[in-house]
Amino acid sequence: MPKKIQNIVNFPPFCLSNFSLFELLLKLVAVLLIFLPILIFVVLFINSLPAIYHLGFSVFTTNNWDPVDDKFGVISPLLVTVMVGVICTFLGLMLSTPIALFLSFYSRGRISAFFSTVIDALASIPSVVLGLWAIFYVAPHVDKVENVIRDLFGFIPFLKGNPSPFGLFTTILILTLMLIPIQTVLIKELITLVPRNLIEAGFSLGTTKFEIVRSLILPFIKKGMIAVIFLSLARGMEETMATAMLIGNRPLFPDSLFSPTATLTSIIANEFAEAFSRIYLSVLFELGLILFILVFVTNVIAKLILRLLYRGV
Amino acid sequence: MRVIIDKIFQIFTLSVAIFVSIILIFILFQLIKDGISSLSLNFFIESARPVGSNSGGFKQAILGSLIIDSIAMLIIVFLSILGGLFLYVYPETLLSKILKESMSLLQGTPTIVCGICVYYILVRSMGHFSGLAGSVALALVGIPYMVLASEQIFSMTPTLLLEAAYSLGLSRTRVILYVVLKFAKFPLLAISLLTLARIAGETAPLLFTAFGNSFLELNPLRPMAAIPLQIYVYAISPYDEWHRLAWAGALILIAFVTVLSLILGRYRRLGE
Repeated sequence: MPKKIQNIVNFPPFCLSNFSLFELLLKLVAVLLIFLPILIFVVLFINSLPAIYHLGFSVFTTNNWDPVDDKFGVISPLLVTVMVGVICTFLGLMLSTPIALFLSFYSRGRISAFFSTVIDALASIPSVVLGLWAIFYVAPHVDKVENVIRDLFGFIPFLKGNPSPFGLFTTILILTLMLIPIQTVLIKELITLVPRNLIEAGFSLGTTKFEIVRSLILPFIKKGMIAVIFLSLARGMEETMATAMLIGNRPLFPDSLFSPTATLTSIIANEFAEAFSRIYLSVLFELGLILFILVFVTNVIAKLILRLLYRGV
Repeated sequence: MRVIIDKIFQIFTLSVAIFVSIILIFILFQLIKDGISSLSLNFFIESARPVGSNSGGFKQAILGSLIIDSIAMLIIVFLSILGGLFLYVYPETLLSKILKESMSLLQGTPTIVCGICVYYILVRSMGHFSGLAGSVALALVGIPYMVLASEQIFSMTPTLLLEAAYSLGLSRTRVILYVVLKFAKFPLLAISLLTLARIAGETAPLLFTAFGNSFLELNPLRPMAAIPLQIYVYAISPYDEWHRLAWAGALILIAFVTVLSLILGRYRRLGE
């Protein structure tokens, strides 16, 4: 090695200080980043302490939202959040599974590229824009659909109610639309995990694509679908802007599928800026804490399932 | 019979795909129709005006978004590249496993929760809302994507280059600075732009941090307007004028986000 390069590379103090400083920086940043979620949790917890201290378990037993009298019932927004997430996830799966199958089996080349672009574009629309669109082009027309549903399925108690432009139903429609791209991409990934030679063996037996899908693909991705369900459930529950714009903000349990109500996120978004007392603000932080834990648990379940199933892949 | 069932199923899946595409085209069509009709030069050179003045624009929101997003991107790029390098340099250590888990935890954190946490940490202690707090909240949202994506990009560095560099006797720091970072320059730019596209449309973290402002404000230590915030405020207002402005703002926002994410489609899936 030429003397000059050797000097640059091996000049002891320079090398030593440079080396350790940079690695120290890396480690510091890593520790800082690790502390971010912990910091979020701690901030939420500290701020919800007054509410926990003053209201205790009563937030889980009352169905009442009365900030003036310090009466807060968390149970109804919590249930509504979960309900919205679950309904949207299943409605979304009904649409996204066929799309994923179409993209992976029934289309090639340009058609496949076109529909993939559609899915990507749908995923990249900010939720506030979707909310804006829904306010002006979905909400005014949604009562017609609601009337049809009420006439057809009115015998089910929860589906019998007065139509309203803003409410659970409108929110569910828009959130379903938002979940479709996420679910489609995830299911497509699952399908690529199916061993190629099994599919080829199936084709060589003369089976049709539908039979391959029904007897090979669907059984194979069944367990992975549970993970997809939990992942999109988490996405549906944490969605804020479209929900806050469409759900109607009435923090009580909904009378029917069509009535306005509120989720954890929409209550925080709409009432945080106008919380007038310490307890009120603290309750909103408690809602955030509950949401945080809810989404965390859902995500962890999804990841555990994925890890158990596809350890080798 | 089997073939017929197959065909029916094929048509069924195709029609679902077409159905979703029609909804998207519907959204885009109405967005462009309502957006273009209210887009004018005033939209870019005027700040918000009171209702009834028949003018007013998004100048303060556009500039505010620009400032908030640039500060957020500075924080994100700086921390995420270092975080990604850490994951790359110490791949199997305990710390890097914890870092990965905590990043995916942060990724799953509801954005509004990030917003209220930053409200407590920054807004409370400063005594007023500020654009800077908005940037920090956006950074919390963007960091996990970029850390995970940049780690994936660093791990694509060809072993051949690394071995060549090490065989010259370069220290690890120098290899990282001269070889790994240089090799990853363009992919890193791409994922930073994608992260920008992702945070540019975020509204929830800004609600209680940047808060919005009807006047032009260039000092990031004061409350600032941002495009998504302004869209939200105008969308839920009762005035037709403001609705039109909201549509124009949404068109600008979506043009920015969609163009960025479609150009960089190749890198889209990184970091998820």
